[in-house]
Amino acid sequence: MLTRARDNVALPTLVILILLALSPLVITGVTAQSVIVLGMIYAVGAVGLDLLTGYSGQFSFGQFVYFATGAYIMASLEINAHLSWWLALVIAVAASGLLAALVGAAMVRLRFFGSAVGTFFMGAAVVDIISGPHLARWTGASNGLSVGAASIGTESLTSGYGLFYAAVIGLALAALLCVRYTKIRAGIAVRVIKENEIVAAAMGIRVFREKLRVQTVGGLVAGLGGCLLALNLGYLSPDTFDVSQSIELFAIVAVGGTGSIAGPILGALFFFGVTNALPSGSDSELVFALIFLAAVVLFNRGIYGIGEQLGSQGLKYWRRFGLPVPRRRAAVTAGPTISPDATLDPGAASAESAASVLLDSAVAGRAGLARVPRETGDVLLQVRDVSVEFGGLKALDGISLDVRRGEVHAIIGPNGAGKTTFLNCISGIQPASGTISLDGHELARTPVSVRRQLGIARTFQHPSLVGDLSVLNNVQIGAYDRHTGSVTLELFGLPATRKRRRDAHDRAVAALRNLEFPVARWGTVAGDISMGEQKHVDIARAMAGKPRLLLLDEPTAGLGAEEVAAVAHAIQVVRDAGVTILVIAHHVGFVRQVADRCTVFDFGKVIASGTPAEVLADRHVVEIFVGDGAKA
Amino acid sequence: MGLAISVIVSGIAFGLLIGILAFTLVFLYKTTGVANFAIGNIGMFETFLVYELYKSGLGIWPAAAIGLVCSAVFGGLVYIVILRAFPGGGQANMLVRTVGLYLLLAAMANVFFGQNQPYSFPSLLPHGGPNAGSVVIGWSNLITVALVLLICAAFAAMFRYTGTGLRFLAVAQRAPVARLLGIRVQRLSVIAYMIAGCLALLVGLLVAPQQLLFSQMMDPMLLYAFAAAVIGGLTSLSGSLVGGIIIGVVVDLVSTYVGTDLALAAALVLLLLTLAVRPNGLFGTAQVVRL
Repeated sequence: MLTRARDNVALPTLVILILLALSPLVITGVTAQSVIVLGMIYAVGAVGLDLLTGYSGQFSFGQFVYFATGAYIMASLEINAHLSWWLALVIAVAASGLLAALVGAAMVRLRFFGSAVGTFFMGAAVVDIISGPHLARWTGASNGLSVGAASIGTESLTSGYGLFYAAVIGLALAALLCVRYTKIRAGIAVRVIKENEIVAAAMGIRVFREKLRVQTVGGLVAGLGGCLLALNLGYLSPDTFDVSQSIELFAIVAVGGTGSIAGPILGALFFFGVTNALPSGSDSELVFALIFLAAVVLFNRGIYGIGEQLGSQGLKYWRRFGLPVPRRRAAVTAGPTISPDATLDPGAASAESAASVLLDSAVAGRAGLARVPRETGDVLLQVRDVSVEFGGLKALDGISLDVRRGEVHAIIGPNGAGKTTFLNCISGIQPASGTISLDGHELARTPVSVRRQLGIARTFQHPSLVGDLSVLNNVQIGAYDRHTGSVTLELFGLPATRKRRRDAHDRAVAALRNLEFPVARWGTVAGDISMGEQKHVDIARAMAGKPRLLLLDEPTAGLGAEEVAAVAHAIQVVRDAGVTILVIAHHVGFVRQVADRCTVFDFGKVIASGTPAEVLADRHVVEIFVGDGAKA
Repeated sequence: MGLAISVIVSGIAFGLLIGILAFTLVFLYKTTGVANFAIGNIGMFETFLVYELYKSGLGIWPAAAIGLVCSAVFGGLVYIVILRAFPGGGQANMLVRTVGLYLLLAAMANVFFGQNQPYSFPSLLPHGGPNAGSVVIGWSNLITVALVLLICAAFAAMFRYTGTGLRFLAVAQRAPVARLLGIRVQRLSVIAYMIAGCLALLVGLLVAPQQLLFSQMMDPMLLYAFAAAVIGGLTSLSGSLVGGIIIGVVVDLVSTYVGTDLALAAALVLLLLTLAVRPNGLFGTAQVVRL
């Protein structure tokens, strides 16, 4: 269902907006224009829902509640507080955003099923409340509420061209806000959250905060949609905001194509086009429901996906006829733009590698990954008596060990020995008893995302790269040393934001280059690279944040001999840069090659500790791996 | 006081009805891994079919009986056509398919049957009932309770004494392992959906007389059933009935003493409280996931 979110949606969105703005020139019928207006109004909410669902993976079957709050608050403020329409509108939109933040605070902690049910519930409950006696003073209950007239100068905004262009402007604001959001750091962070929340937290992303931010944006634009709807209808009644509208809004996003911002706009226009084309309301409901089901079952990339396919087919024919294709600017400084067939275009890749060679020394120096002489000796990570129990099973039983600064420390042991659980304890994902201290600082109360700031980075057995982002962008999101700061400022693209982004980009480039990941593949989307490459990129992502301690969870699992050698080399590079490494591994030969010291786990206990040579010569250790009766 | 007790009694009966729908939800969730948003509207649509049969001259009981058989078929079809076809979208995709089905069934009901809705639906249960002091206990309430107990007993017997029941339990616990052990999981899912179709019709037949028959009649029931399932714990079948009783009593009390417009809100508050304080519900078990 949650298809790949797209990166460069600004252009299609802009094109659609311009076409909509120009449409009255071609479409002159009043009915047709009113259909387009309604489509645009729903689209205002749909783009926000797309940001919520397609980009951050949160489901909402109750977005129309914010339409309702926008509409009712605006109308009510006009009537009861005698505010002018634009002031009432601003307050109504802000209130919708605030409500979304409050509701979101409850919903984001739930898994998608919980939020699906909760938002659906909310959609139904709110309509009941609006039509009930408790809020009747402000909502008019089932009698409804009439909306005050609104105009700019002599142009009325409740009918005719005034309304049409009010809707266009509203949609433009909403769509461009959402498109801009997908480009800033917060927008990329939520895509990591959509992929895997735990990996996102380990990268330093504040999961709750980011999810809440997207909920707020969704609520804001839906509130704006509600105000426009109020202007359009002139009269509000609770039925207009029935929960079925929330579900239709979701269906609009799905049919339009989740994860594309422009797609839902098309979906909304399509929906109202269909509704208008068929004589009876229930008939159009039926047709749309069938289309929705078909879209979900058969072709879940939606109308936008169809457009993409036609576009790439068209591009193929265009090329075949030898017609020129505008070269995509390989903007290494701003981040490469990715077209669907980027890998087919060798020009972009070589331009990139040329540029990156030029940046080499400058970047390496700036990113601070110059070679540092290895200093081992004092203890960086101290683990004392850590235990974890799952029901009756003791996954870890009183583990104590020291990891010295600058060393590569391997943890080996059979399956189920507790190695990954141990790493999870250090990351903060797994609560445990005992103490873990980094440089004397006890970690017990530090949340997962803060540990990244303290300098602990890790990779996972399953890399969980964001499949629809390029390799470089995946590493870049790991390169921000903090994910704090105001989103509003970010949206405006101030110099500080751009500098921060450049720094992250440079660090990402340095990390990829230092780990010798082939430059030609930097632009490939992570969903298209092999598992070995994904693990390689995962290490680069962890390294880009310049950690002090790097935790590697089975970096060699599932890799062939050549790839294992590449990882071994990567680890040596990282160690030479001064980073302490704790690595879980199964490959004994790999461990001999890279590790300075080695600890053996079995059944949650430490069996042996020392240099690889010592440990692997130990009879007990050999027995664990090979079984009884083996010759040492 | 008498009013309060009457309300509580009818709340319990209402709650057991919610409980059956919640039970169906949890049963489907455990055997197919999908929470079905459309289960309410499946019942609604089937009730419409029964109504059509009744209008064409059959008595209500024969119509209901035929309806039950058709519901089993309908339930199986729903699974085969909507859920089993083109698998591989993941859980989110399956959930959204059920949402699409929800929309489709509502639209179909409107188009085929809905010209003059709402319709009044004949009650299958007798009216009136015995009094205990000032408390009125309707026959319909008593029979509902008895019916629910019968269904629970039937399920308990099925799980305990039949091979199919055992296989259901296996699939509910660990579907991939069950498949490896040779259990035909897809065939069991079809059977589960057939059973669900019948239970949904049953709920519809008992709801329609009070709420009138129209295409959105099951929407509140669906929501209450979700709340009940969550309160009971999504992995606990008996918990869903307990959850249903809690929701039923609370909703009836709120409707009577505060106002019907806040009934859904009250259930929503209970749902959110449960998710906040005890996310696994009263009887559910925490799902442990290997990272």
